[in-house]
Amino acid sequence: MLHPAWQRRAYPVTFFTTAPLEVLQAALAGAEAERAAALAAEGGTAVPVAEAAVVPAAPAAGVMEAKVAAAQAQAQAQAQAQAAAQAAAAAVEGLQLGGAEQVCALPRGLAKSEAELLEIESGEPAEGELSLLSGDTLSWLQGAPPLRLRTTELVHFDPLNTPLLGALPSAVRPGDAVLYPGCGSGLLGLLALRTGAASVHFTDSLASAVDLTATNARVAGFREGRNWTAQVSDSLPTTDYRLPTTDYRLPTTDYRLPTTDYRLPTTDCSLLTAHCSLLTAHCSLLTAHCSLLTAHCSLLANYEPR
Amino acid sequence: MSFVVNEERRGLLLNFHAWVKAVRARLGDWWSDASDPLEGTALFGSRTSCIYNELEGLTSLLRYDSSTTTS
Repeated sequence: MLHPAWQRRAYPVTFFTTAPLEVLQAALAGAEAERAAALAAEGGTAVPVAEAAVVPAAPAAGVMEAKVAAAQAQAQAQAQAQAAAQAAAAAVEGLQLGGAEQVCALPRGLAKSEAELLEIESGEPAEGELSLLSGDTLSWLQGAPPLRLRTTELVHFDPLNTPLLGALPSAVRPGDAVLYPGCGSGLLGLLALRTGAASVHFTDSLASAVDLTATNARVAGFREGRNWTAQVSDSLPTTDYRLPTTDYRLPTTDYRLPTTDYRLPTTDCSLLTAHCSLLTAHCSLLTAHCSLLTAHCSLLANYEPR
Repeated sequence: MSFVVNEERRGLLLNFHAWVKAVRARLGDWWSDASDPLEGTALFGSRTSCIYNELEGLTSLLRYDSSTTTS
């Protein structure tokens, strides 16, 4: 990560050990005590050396301890996810769309229950009624019958993508064939159909997302095959498409795709470029993953069982 | 890089190295290692060009959830 003040790259520190939790805790306490004593001898104040969150990756101790540790890790992860959800919600509040100071209400079910969603058992769909109100940029949605979307813990509409909703009518023209890579729950594609797109091709690398999109499209009354198709894919098919989404948010960086006409494969290679940048992003993730595996292996290689 | 920043980095680095040394000394025969704050590589194990990815580590080893996809 880039240090905000230093403007230099810095790496967070992870400490690995195979020592049992109590041994590690004793070692930490001992090191802290030694440090405090040294500082006291120097006349300084004792400052904790490091705030280490001790989470055993694979507790070898009793089953009960393992369960407790797992519960702690889960609670910690949940707290983190909740904080992230709150941060995302906070970021959207007061959002300005197209210059007009209008706030876009989030899908009702989702906006209030971003945190609640985390409590839903995996795979259990949660239903949220899309409720988009106010704002000139969203006026095209008003008066339309509500669009009911099923979402899951894994697949839902990211509030950060809300600005795309306002941009949709200008990005999609009547009769367009729309490609929607990374469709998730399919919200933008279904709205594209509503604005007059002739067909939408949904793709997502996640099978459950494609299933969910298909369900949502059927519930919304669009005809499969004629109005829409959906497939699990990381790649883009080679036909004429308009890309409705302008913003790709990958774990590492923001990726921005322009919303213009693309033709594959002969007349225009800009889609190829866009496609390549997505692929590159994807590859960099894979590379990161590989480097983790390699790092993990090098750690294991140095591990000598007692 | 300014002198102030350099000094701060150096101080924190020494701090961390002192901590790691003290903790490792107390762990005895138990295996331990850390990621290098400067390089992101293994601090004590054999060096490779591989950087330990914190986020991937948290999701893979501690099962933190970062798999949420969005539409």
